[in-house]
Amino acid sequence: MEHDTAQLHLSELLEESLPPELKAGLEAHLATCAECRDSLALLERTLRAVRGLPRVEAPPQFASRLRRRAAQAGLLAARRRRRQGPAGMNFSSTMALAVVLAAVGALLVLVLLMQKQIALLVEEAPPPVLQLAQPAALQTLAEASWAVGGAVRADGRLVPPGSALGGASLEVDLELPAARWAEFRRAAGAVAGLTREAPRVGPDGLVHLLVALRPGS
Amino acid sequence: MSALKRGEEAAFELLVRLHQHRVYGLCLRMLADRAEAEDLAQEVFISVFRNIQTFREESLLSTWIYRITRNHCLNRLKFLRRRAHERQQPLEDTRQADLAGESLADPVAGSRLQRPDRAIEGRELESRVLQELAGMSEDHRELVVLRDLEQLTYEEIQDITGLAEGTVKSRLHRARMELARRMAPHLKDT
Ligand SMILES: [Zn+2]
Repeated sequence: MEHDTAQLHLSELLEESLPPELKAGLEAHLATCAECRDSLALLERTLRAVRGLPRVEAPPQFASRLRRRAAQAGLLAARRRRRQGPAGMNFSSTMALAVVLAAVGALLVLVLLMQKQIALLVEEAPPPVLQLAQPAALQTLAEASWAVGGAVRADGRLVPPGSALGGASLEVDLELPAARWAEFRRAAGAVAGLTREAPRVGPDGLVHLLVALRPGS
Repeated sequence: MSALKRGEEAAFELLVRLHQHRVYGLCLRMLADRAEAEDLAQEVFISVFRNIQTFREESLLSTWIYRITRNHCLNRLKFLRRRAHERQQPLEDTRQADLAGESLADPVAGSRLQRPDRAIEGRELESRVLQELAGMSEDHRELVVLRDLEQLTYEEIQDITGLAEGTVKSRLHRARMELARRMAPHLKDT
């Protein structure tokens, strides 16, 4: 096999997907070509490094933030579970049995759903809420967040750094690197209600702060 | 599946639970920015909720969700590039900063960076791979992410990207070779 052709088949050799004749040709070339042997070794190490990368997990608040956003988009409210009730049945003994079985099944489903709800609550303890009356204070907090590399979400949507926040009533999520809390507080200046210590730090090393703007409150 | 098409909330909750990590992971690896990745992953699910009626069961639901994720990623990257261009700030800047925040901030890793001749390992190797991956072109990066990180089959990758089998294989190989060249200075003697 020629050198240029050999270079094209190195992945397939590592994935063991090369037809036998090509594999034999490539191995014969490798025996004589140091450059291809080096390429193969480097490729193998690179793939090992890539495959060894840890699995990524979505942030712990992902599902709850998504739910809020879907509700705002009118997706969840319109999609509430439909109730299906059988109408005008004739109660025979088999039918009665079926109803009892269905009731037991529904109860089981309900218990499972409740357990899931409870699990969701435990998993996603709500972040501390800071109530603000002044839009300017909210803007100050948003800018302080951007200054320390944090993210700002208004009603679930990511706000690009430098934007002006507005609106009558807003819920804003601030997500900050815990290590830069002190810096954030300094940048936030006189906004009342910020604690000296960072609030509870998530497993992702980030602090979540929910700020609610209620003009006139 | 039928519960999903009827629009049952519990079915959507389950769908999110099952797919959130992979959708977010794909967004993060493509965008290399945590906040953007979460925002985009949420948009993906909103889009899935809206379009579930158009899902045809001849492909896997997961593949369909991945296809939506991939399209959203490419659109967002285009948008971010345009925004960075308007602000005259290279996109790579914010990316590198985010990757650095992920693991290069480790002071031990930082001191090891002073000696590029030494083979690196562990967390530092991880962050190097991520940086080099983020520096590659999107069409190369996505194939490495889908095949070598997400470990999808070639059939799934063809379905997600719409590329022919031969194109996937040859482009993936070129992408891997490019990544290997980029990683070469960091991979001595491992
Ligand atoms: Zn050769």
